[in-house]
Amino acid sequence: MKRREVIKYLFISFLLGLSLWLTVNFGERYPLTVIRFVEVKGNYKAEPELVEITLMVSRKLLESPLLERVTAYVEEEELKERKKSLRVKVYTPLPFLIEPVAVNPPFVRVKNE
Amino acid sequence: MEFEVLKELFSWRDILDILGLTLVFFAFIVFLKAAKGFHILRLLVFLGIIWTFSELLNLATLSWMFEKLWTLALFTLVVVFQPEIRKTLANIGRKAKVLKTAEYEERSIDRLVRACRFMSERQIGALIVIERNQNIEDLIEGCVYLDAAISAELIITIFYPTTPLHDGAIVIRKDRIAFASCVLPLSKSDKIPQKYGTRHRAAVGISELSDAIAIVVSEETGEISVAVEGNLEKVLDPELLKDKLLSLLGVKHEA
Repeated sequence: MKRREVIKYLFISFLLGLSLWLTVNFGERYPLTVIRFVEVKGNYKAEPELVEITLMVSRKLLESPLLERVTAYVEEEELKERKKSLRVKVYTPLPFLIEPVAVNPPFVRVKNE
Repeated sequence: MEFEVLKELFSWRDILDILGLTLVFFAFIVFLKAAKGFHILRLLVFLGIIWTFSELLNLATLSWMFEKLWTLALFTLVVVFQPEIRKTLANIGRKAKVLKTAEYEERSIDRLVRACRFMSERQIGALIVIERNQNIEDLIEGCVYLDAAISAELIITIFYPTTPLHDGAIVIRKDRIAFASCVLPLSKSDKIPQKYGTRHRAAVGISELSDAIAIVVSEETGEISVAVEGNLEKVLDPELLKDKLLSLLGVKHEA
């Protein structure tokens, strides 16, 4: 086989290998539930304090320390509006690969500590 | 922080993983090219695209059909490429084998060369296979068992036209003529010049599938050729044939 042909086939093989690797590692997502404290800024306390977050996680990140960086919080803006129940939001370091799909309960009450 | 995330996504294991996959795909492509199975690869790619679309568009029946059929397709591929798979595995076995000491004597090679010279001068077609480390019995068919000592006269008699054993190859094993009138597998190589016929294709065929050496004497031109590892080489002088055989068989010159 000519050198040029070898390089061409190696390049095609690399593309195929990379595609398969991406599909296997990031293509399929698995549900994972984590429990987090709801973070509220200032002297406030959420009720209930803990929420259950369902995430869809890529296979490769199922045991990743990045999951520890998933947090639940309420928006400061909504606090200022003095709403009675606030929607719980979720922060994830990689929204495409660690995707929050549900929070239970989806709303929390906030009161002064 | 970004570096931390990147480190989580790609480690040295992943690089090894991708490199391994690249090598597997490369070996598969080279195999398909050698086996002239590129048209099958094109068909597989086409079917793969349809399958991907059916999965993306949630076409239940089409997806179901592909899921059921892929094991059957794998089995079919094994059947279609059976000769090539056999050849590849035989090559792996051949390369893994430790070379044994020579089991041929120089005088046997002398007799062989003398027979080739005689047949070349008189344009008697001949095909002689010399077995080395690999047993070729599962590659040859229709043989007549001989187990005779090598002699130029016997070889010439075997290949003399109109004799019952002249059609086919003789197989030399451990300094003896083991078989005669053998049918060998034909090579499909496009490297063999058009002027050569079935005898030359058979010589290349057996040398592709095993580590055997095949000597051909052309009926048309009297030309002597040697096939080793799938390559056919013309030998201009019978003395050069002797040197070549001695070197290929690892036989030292007798004092």
